[in-house]
Amino acid sequence: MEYEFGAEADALRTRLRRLIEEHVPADFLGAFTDDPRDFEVAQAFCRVLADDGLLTIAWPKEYGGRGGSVWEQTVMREEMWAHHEPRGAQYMGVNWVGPAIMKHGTEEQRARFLPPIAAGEVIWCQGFSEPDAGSDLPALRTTATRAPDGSWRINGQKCWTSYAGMAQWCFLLARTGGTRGRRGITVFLLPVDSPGITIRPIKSMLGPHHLNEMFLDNVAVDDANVLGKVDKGWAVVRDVLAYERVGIPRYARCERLLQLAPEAIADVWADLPESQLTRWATALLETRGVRLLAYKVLQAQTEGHTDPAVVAAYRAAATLLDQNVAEVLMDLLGSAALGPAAPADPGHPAARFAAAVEDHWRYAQAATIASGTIEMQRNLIGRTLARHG
Amino acid sequence: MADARFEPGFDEEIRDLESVVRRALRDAGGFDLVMRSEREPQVRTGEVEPLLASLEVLDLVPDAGEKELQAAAAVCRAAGAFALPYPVPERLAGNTLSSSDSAAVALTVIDDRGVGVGGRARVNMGDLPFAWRLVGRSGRVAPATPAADAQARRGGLLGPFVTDLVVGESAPGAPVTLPLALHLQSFALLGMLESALDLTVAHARDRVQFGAPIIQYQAVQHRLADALTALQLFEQQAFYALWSVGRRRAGSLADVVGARVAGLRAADEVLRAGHQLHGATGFCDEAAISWVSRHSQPLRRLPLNRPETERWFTELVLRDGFDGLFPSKVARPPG
Repeated sequence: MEYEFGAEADALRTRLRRLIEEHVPADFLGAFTDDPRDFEVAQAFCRVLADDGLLTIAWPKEYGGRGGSVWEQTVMREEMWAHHEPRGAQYMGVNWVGPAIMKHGTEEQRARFLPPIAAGEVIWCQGFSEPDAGSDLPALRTTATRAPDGSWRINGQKCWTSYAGMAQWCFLLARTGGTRGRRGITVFLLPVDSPGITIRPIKSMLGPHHLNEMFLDNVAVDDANVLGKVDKGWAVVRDVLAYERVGIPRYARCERLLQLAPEAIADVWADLPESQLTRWATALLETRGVRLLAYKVLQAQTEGHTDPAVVAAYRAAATLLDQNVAEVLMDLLGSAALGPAAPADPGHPAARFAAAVEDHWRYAQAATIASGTIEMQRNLIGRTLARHG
Repeated sequence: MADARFEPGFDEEIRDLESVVRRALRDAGGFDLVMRSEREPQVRTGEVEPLLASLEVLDLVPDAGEKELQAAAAVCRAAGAFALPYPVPERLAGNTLSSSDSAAVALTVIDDRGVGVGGRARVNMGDLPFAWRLVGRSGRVAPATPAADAQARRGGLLGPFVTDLVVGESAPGAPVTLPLALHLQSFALLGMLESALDLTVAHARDRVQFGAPIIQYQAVQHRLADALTALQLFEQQAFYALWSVGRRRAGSLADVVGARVAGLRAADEVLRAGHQLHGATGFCDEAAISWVSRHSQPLRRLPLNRPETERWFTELVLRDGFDGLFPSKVARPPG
């Protein structure tokens, strides 16, 4: 029995925190803001990580990575998410686009796509969801058909596509055979500036740039941009889901914000009712429970004996934690949760904290929906218990 | 991998030990032991104790190294899995105390706020003839003896073996005494809840209504999913706190109290689902879930119920900070 990660992972955590302190402003709340400087912070930070060989820490050495252990990868994800993901949109490229291309791509595709991801120079978006294909992803209806010259023509609509407005490439699923089901789906690596692509931002409470619609009108692409085999794209999708392992380490940001609270709202802390303090302390405890459950899942994955019910239990617990912590933090803020009272100094730690909490609450509303709804997780647990007890 | 030291859960030989104990308890009757215990209280010392002694698990000394601690926790979990009518956590915790008494020592935790010499404390299985020691939230340890009217004051259906003991003169205990004694009880609760969920899943797979086993219905599946999730969270907190106690970490008491908070929340979730999904059968003495539910009550109410345990945890965090990825000190005295 051991609950320490070891010296290498601890050293990585220290190093990452130092880099964040040096390169990321204290009021950074992610790249999705109206302030273009936030986007620049993320782009610059990716280059810093790339120069240090940290951006692709999880990648195998043969592709220029460090072959980092699962625990080093975990530290990286925890630190990035806890500090509002200073890699911005690029985390997707290193987390799963790159690995999917390593496994399913041709030599040419690897040579073409992997170096820019490793250098922190390119943004990918994920063209999966459609208006009628959310939880039921195989119901997607975007089509790719052969043109007389042998190339493909893609037609359809994607939605909720994060980063589409800032991405250069899209990892897109389209139907090349059949009318529904997992067979007949193909993965296309599509330049976002292709003629026929229209991107429209969807305004939402999540903030600017989060959600977009992507319309594809006879978009031309050739076989060099097909990842894996035609009609067999679901095999790639399955791997993509596996690369995501346990998903976003939501518990890390939850814990950080909760730990910041007593100092950030020191003015009112002493007057808080006991019930609020209990909610605060037990929410901290819950962050530990979810974190430990994530580690259990990761450990099982490294040993190759994953229990799907436990993975789903972790995902359900992690998303509920995000929302519970959001409520606890908002209640701690009182009326300040509604925005700063005038006159406010946005640089004041209390104002920074309030902004981070407000951001967290808005984003947490999507926690039980994005990347598989909590209902899907509960279904998965239930079905597993029904089959195996 | 040089840094892949992380290893949650029991070591392999401890898992083997737990399997052996579980098998032996099952072979000796399993839930039948608790089902007989209220009618035949002598089952506890006449059958259960000799069985545990034959397995050589009553000699474990849980403060004599991490392996002994793990072994003790594993035995407590195995005992909890059958709601074993015997104070296994208390007996094993008692082995950490020296005593000139000829009787075996049993150590349990009480809420000693406002309880002085001659005061009373409610103790599960306190009627059994051990040299009882009580460790309070203060960390002080006191001997205890049965109250003169103890037999008359035995608990009801939800605490059939809860007995009043009279508290003697206390003295400071070792730092590990309180967290260790409290946490072995949490491992018994963990075993109970795991069994409760197993029993409930098995029932939901067997019980056919509207032409299908009820586990096929989504409403039932979601209830089970929430119970399983709560239990998984408790299990992780329990193992983490066990490791913390074994390493004598400064925050181990908060870790143990935190694990108990997770355990009490899981108990509410798992046993409520257990009763609901068993239907009327779940109230009946023929159903094991009924016994697990009733006999879990002393563990869930003593020394402190869920709200009081949450308050205790909060006080510890406010005093010492919370040890996590972003540890910070919280400067606010409780109260």
